[in-house]
This record gives sequence, C-alpha cells and structure tokens, in this order.
Amino acid sequence: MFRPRPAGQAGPAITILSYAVTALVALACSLPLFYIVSTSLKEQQLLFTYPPNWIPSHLYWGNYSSLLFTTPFLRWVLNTLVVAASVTLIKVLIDSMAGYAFAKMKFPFRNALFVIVIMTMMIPFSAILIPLYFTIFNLNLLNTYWALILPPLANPIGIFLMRGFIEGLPSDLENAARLDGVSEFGIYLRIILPLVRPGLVVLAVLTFLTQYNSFVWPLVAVNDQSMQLITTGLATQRSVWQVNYGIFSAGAVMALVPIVAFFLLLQKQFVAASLAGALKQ
Amino acid sequence: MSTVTAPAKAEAEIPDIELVEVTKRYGNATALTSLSLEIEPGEFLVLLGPSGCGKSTILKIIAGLEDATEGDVYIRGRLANYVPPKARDVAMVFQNYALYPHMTV
Repeated sequence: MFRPRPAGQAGPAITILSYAVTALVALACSLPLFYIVSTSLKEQQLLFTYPPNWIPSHLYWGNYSSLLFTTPFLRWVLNTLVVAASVTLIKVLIDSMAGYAFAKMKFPFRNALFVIVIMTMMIPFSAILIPLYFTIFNLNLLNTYWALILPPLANPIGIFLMRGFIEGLPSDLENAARLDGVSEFGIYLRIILPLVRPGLVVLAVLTFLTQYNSFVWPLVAVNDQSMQLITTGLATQRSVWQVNYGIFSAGAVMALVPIVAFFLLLQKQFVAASLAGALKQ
Repeated sequence: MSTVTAPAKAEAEIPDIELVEVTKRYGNATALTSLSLEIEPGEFLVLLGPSGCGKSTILKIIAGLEDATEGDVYIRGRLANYVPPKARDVAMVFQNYALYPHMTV
C-alpha cells in the first residue's frame, strides 16, 4: 500500500547518497593525516617506494628518537605553549574589556574609534612585517618571548568578536547592577564576563590555534635554536640538499598532541547555553 | 486622614520626587519635552501611554540610569541630577526581570 512520506524525511536513495558523500569527504580528510603517521614510522629509504606503502611492514621509531634527541624539540613545544598560552590569556582579558567599552559604555567618538580599530584588520600582515621587525629590533626584543607575544596582541579581531557578544546582552542586566551601586569594572567582571563565557571560549580557541600555527612572524623575530617554536623549529631541520620527511612527519604527529588535548578540554564549553533563563519575558 | 505621628508641615509639603522641565533627547530624537511632575509621599502614580512615549525614560531618569538633557530632578527636596543611582535610594523593577543566570540567591 502506498503511504506518503512524512514531510522532511528523505527517501532511502537520498540517505544512502548523503552517507556515501559524507564517508568520502571523511576519508579524503583523514587520508593525509594517516599518511603522515605512516611516514613518521618509515625509514628514509622506504618513503618514496612505488606503489606507496600505506602501512609500514615494520614500525621504525628512529624518526621520533632523532627528533627528540638530536633537536631541542621539547624546548620548541615549551616555547610554543608559553607563547600561545600567554597571548591567549592576555588577549581574552584586553579584548573583552575593549569589547565591553565599545558595546556598552558611552563616550565621544565611540563609533569612529571602533571603525579605526576594525580598519587595522584590513592591513595585510606582509605590509607591516618589516616595520614591525624594526620596531622589535629597536626595542631590543628580538629573540625573546616578548617578540612573539606582543605583536599578536594588537590584532583587533577579538575586540570585534567580543563587542558582538557583549552587545547581545540585555542592558537591563547591567542597569540592575548599576542601581545596586556596582562600579563599571564590577559590572564587567561580575556580570558581563560570566555571561559571555562561550564568546571568551571561542576567542581563546581561535587565538590559541592561530598562535600554535603561526609561522612567518616567529621565523623573522627569532633565530636562536632554543627560542624556536614547533613550526619554525621543524623548518630549520630542512637543509639545502635534503628534506627528511620522516622527521618532519614525526614532528607533525607530536605537535598534534597538545592541540588535541586543548580542544578536548574546551569542547564542552562550545555548547554551553549561557543565557538560558536570564530574562523572563 | 489622620496620622499617628504627623510630620512637620514644611517636610510634608516637599514632594518625594519632583521633575522640573525635564527634556531628554537621544541624538535628534526627543523622548521627553519639558516634563514637570510632582509625586507626593505615599502617592501611587501610574504612567500610562503608548509604547515609545517615554514612560521608561522617565523611570530611568528618576533612577539615575539616564541623565536628563535639560531640567532638574529633585528627590526628597535634594537636587539629584548628578547623584549616582546607588546614592538615590531608589528601587526599580525592570520590565524583564533581570536575573543573573550565573548567580544563585
């Protein structure tokens, strides 16, 4: 007997097709990762055999040991974590403050100032690379953590983001606090910050990932072996004549560990419902 | 109506809240034009009007959340134009109950 399909429910052919497409995309995304893991476990002379050897017949750990024992790889990981964590912490703090000011406080030229701040986003980084280098050079900060931490703090994307999040909060919440005599900073700290926690998490993840992957500026600002980040440190392992892809892959695999841990740690925050029950209409 | 402890006459004549020629403008939009209003102690006053006519603006000006563009606000006989909300000893219930989801009682 023919029974019409309920609206919104796909037919079997569509379902199968969409699963097939999803599976294909998932495979295409995970293959490079799998190949990196596989490459990191192969000896140098087996890297370019044809047909490619997807699963090495015996696991070769030499790439990992030479990366760990012949390069200061762990120091690079430490440097990366110090820089990324500092930038993230400071940025979340100052960007949320600026976002609060731009979203909720009244002062002259507020919108004009905001437009100027946002306009700095439109300057390509390559255009300020050399002036920035000379600024840091004149401040005597080359080859220090400060050289890696200070410049990214000026990126206004976080102000833009936090302003959007804070603007969405009802003003009644602050006004009620104001009536009770809470100071402007108290409102920011005790009312606004807890309410925009999902926004803070978004900003933190974005900033941390950007810093973790940053390459061009660290390459320019730092050339001591002991001050390299993971990205730039691995790049120094390439000589003019030869690229050891085994060591590169081992480094890439090990670099994944902290970032995956960080993501798993904050994953729950992504879905936090912040404002449920705040206002009764 | 008789009261047990009659307040001094001078004190009784001072309105609890007095607005004198209060005007409020937001940019080019005028929300209130020369509003004068006296509310006596114990008086129960209802502001009634279509939305956007300035009822909430009056409340916010009395509470100190907005400043009057022109005119004066007196609370218990004291000029309150520049008194911060906390010091006015005024309570206000917002249209939407402003409850903080991250706090408990």
